[in-house]
Amino acid sequence: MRDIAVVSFAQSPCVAANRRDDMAGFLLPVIRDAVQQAGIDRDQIDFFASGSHDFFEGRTFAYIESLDAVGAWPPISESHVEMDAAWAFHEAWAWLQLGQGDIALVYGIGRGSLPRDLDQVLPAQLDPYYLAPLRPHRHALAGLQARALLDAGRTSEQQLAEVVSRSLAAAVANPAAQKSGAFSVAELMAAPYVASPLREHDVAPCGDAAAVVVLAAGDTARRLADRPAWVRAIDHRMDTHYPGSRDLTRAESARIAGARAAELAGFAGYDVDVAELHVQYSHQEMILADALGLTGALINLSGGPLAGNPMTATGLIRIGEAAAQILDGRAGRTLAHATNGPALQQNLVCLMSTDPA
Amino acid sequence: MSAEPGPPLPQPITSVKSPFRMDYTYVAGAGRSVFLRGLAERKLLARRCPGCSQVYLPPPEFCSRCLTELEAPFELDGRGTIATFCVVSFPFPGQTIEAPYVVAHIHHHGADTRLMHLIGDVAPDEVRIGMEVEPVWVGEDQLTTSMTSIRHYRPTGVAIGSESTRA
Amino acid sequence: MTSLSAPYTVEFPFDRTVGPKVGTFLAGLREARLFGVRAPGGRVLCPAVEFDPETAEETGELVELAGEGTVVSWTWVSTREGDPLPHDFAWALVAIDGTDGSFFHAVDVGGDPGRMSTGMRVRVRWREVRVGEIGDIGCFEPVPV
Repeated sequence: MRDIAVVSFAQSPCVAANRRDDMAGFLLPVIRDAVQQAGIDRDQIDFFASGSHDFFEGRTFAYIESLDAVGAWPPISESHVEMDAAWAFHEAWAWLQLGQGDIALVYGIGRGSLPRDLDQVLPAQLDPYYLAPLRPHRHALAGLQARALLDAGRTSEQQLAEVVSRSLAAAVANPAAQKSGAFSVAELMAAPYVASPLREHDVAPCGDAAAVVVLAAGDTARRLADRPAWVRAIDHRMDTHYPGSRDLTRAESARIAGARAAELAGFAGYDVDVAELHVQYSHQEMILADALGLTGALINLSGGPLAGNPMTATGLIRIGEAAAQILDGRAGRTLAHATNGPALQQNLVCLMSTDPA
Repeated sequence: MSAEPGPPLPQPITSVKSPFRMDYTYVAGAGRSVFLRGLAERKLLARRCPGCSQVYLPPPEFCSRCLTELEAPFELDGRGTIATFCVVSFPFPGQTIEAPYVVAHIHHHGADTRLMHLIGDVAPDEVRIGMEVEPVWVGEDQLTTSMTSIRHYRPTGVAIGSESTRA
Repeated sequence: MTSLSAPYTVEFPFDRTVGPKVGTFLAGLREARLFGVRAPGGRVLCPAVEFDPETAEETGELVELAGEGTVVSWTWVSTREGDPLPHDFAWALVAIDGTDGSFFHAVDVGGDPGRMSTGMRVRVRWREVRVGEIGDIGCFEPVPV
């Protein structure tokens, strides 16, 4: 295995709706920022990988437009995943492992504001025979998951509000956050339900932003960053798609991904200082903390997705935030988690450290 | 276990309707909006890259090779040559033009990129690569921030029907 | 400089082929009959699937079910145009009697969330016009006590 590290991370502020820029327009400054932080010219980048989804953009092959912000001339080596860009990060890491180059740039673009009704779009990710035709409300499966967790005695509505209150308070220090502030638990619990037992603030606010992570291998990484965030392990797994076929109160695929990552990294969830979790809903923090054994970690110091959720960039931002903790010298070992699909169906775990081995 | 023999199994169906309908907002972006606003004034606005001097039509906000912001827009006269074309002969759902018709990449004089549009006022089998064309704008009341402000391009200097198109 | 923006609509009028088990299950709905499918180990899955999500083995015979079950989780939502019910309702996971796992559908309690509870008994309410799709089940309703 080659030693591969995150050497820079940049993101644009999460906003509810960007009505100024096309895809390339709001990606370009973020790429410039990440490339400048790494101190490289873009012609030194050997591979580009990106993640976004046509169902958010509303056009087929929509991501092609974003290549205008990459400088795809002369032709570059690039790849795209039709999902969260955390999976593009995984591909870039694997590409570097193959030894075909030393520097890769990963970007994610989230354009959650373009669909005028997410209830039309999100069912498209569901089973087309038994779920999509019923057009479940966008938060319905998460509502079922949250209720199941409450019924199992594993959380309470008060605990959900505490997660939200802590996340939005932490987000005050995050200039990229879309939502932040001091909210009391009592105040939050007085809000109406959107899909009981979930309230509006329990839901990560779908919006627009772009994020960029630069990865480098070996001595190149050491040259580009004072404290590279070494990717010690990355793994992803998925559960079956029908919500009635699995125990919604457990994220078995997250547990397996975490266990496999721990095996590769030599340290596990209970060893990390900081974890960035891709919670699409407040109650998922408990499920993930259990599945990943996060007994001592500080969770979502950035505010997490409850403070900003540019869908398909949100997972990559978790990796970027967890890496930034190491790049800035604030943590020694961190965990990043990303998810795709409804109710934590598919999960990715990335373990990073100040030490390459 | 359903022990008692029930009625026979139904004959399986083979497909289900699985329609999606999604409403979106299109955001043109800063650069594209400059060009589209020009069309509403019968102007073809191009922009030059200060780095590589490439002239874009239609222009984005920045050069996709140099990633530098393009210079101020300037107007081209609209004439150009056909870089390549195809004749669309088949019908498809949502088609708004009667086949056969010609779609071309037009290399405008003074621009380094090509713009796609329809070729009209000429029989499809007379269209040639290298043929000079010019835009036919819609009437004042139909001008808008859209490519539809140009009805199509037509050959210059070629008399078609009763109308001479030479400037 | 502000950007131009405009509304537009995308439609995908897909027909989707189904497998033999799914096709029989949906044809059963058209006849107001609910079927599960046998999975390895004797488990019965409803709705029917072609492959067992646990073992990935092909599923077996179809098994007719009574169409009653127990709510294992639910969430209360506001009704929207095109929803199965004209008033607010619950989406629920229902453990159908005689099956493993649970079934996703709507539950009608007359718009009163106070009548919803985990563990409540419900039964299928068939739509009058059925075409062989999951919506042939209009919703579930409480079993009268």
